Amino acid sequence: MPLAVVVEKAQIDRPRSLETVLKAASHFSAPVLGTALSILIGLAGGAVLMAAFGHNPGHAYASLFKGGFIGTFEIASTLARAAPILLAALTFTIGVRARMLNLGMEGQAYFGAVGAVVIGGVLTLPPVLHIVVTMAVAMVFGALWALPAALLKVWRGVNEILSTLMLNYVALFITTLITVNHLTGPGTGDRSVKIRESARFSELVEFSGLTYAIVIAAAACVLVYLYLWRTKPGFALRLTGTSPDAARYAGINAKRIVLLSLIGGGLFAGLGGALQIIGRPPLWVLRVDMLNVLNLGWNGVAVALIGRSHPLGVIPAGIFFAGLLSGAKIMQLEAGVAVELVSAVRGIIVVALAIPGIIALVRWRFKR
Amino acid sequence: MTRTQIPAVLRQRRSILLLAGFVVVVAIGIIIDRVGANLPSLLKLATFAMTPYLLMTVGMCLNQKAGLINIGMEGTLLLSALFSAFAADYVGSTWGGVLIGMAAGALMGLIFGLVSTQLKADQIIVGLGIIFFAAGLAPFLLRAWSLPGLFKIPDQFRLPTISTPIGHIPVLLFVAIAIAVLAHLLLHRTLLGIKIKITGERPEAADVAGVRVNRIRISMSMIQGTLGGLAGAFLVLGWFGSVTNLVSGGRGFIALAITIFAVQEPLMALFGSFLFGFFEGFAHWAAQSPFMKTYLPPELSQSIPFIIPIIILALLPRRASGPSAMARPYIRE
Repeated sequence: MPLAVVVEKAQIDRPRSLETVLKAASHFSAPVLGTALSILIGLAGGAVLMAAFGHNPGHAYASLFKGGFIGTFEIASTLARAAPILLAALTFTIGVRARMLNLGMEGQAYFGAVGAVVIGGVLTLPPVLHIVVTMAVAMVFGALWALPAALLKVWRGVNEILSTLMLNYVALFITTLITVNHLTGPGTGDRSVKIRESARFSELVEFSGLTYAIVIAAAACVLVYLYLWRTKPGFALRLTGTSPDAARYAGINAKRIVLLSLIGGGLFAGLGGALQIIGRPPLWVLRVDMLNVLNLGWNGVAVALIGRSHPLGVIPAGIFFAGLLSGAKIMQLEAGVAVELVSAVRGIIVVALAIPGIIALVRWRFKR
Repeated sequence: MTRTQIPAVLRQRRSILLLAGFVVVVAIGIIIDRVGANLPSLLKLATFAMTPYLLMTVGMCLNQKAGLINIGMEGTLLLSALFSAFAADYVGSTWGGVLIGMAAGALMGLIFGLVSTQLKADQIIVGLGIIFFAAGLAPFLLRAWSLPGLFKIPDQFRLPTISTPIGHIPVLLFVAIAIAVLAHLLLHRTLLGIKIKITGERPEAADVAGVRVNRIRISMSMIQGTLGGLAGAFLVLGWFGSVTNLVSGGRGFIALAITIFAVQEPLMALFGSFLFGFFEGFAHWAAQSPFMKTYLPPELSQSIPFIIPIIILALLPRRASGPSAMARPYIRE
């Protein structure tokens, strides 16, 4: 949205003075700078926390970034981690663009993962078709778990934040029940059946866990961008989000937008849950306590917020955040700082992101 | 002021719902009694479950009346539970632990209040940030101060209980009820209460009339944090006796649902907390009782406390409840 405004402005002001160009540039760069500043605040908060517990922040962050971003293998494993998170972030993005705060991607991802195990681990199908069917069913599973929240919103006006949060917990219990009773693999009680060879994504970089899943995730981001910014229903969705009154006046059915944004979002969360199983070697299983899908949705929310709820913005945000997550393991090994630090940093970043015009705020403080 | 603003029909419908809830509760009680199960133990569990709900909900009522909505209660609950557990062990006194837990909650409330008033942040996103922060800090602290995973509190640091016909019930329940009544009196019988309500309804008018909008909001946010801290301290010191990084277990979110159900009225919150607490007590009881386990898998009975709020919210009238300036930062012109 900002870019379009920039281009328009630059075209209207015929004699392009340096000032207008600078103004236009700052219009575009303010969100980027604000996000960068928020990330810095988050990292600084993490450093304070580490120092308080007697760790060396410099050493820890050096190993974190080295483990996350430096080297082919490291980048590959970061990308592998990013793929499912990007999809969960898309769920939040689609919702928030329609002014629907969908926080149910966590539960929707559990259901997507279960769907992936049901199709990918139990059924036998020809190779390529198997992957496609698995992904499709996982998407449907995710959307089905978004359905109650969407219908309750439309029929009874139930606040979608609360209903999706509650449904996350219900989803955890139900998917655990299903997995424990019907999907456990032979000889193990704590993990599901393995995904069959034909339903697995093949690895791109050996031993890193990077598969073609990242291509699917990136394509989904581009697809959602094109849908929201280049099609009529996408425009209706965004208009409902930015100015509900104008949308109503234009004859847009608000209820349809609610259904579209929540259920459409559920599709991607379900796919994210599935890619966590069928696109992440070497395990190819779902833990019965959902351990390998846990937190996927919440990380997606954080990534969507860092990416400023833009389908293309989430790509760099997701890669950055996945880098933190995969670098955290190296940090724990080398500097002895627990991996959970990244999650605390995530919280500080999100709080900082919630502050509007954070750049202006800082500039103003410095001027005084 | 608020009394006249809520239409009579709406009040009636909520009361009918409440009545229906109690009929269901009594019916469940009678059925349980008939099948020969232990009803008192269920009621006892319900008193334990309702105490943290009531504390959190009263805080939320005050905070939302003043125009701030904090969905980060879950995080406040988790961190204050953790801090009170470690503090009780470190200081060597139960009440020391409770105080530290409350202080931790108050600090988080202060941060929320400052960020969402002075810095005009989006309150929902700040709440999410608080949840994320707590979810990361809790396991980090557990690892740093104890074993990763679980910290057991020595038995001498348990909060006192009172012996009643249904068993030992927590003293803090009565404190919580007293706080709810006090909050009701504060809101509806004092000048400060009027200031709080007008801050949530018409912050511009409040400002013109000389009410310090942001100051009231920040202090209400701190009260909510303090009560949330007390609830967290109760969870570990009064109930579970141990702390994990999952100790809050979604209770902060359920409290949010109770607040909406209670239309931000502390006395309504009292009944709402009892209702929701009963269902949570029922879930715990059903998960433990060998009789119920044969009919209902523990996983399903555990999800009851999360399904009930959705059903109840769906039965409520459509009209959005809450002060008109809720979730909107006040920007002085």
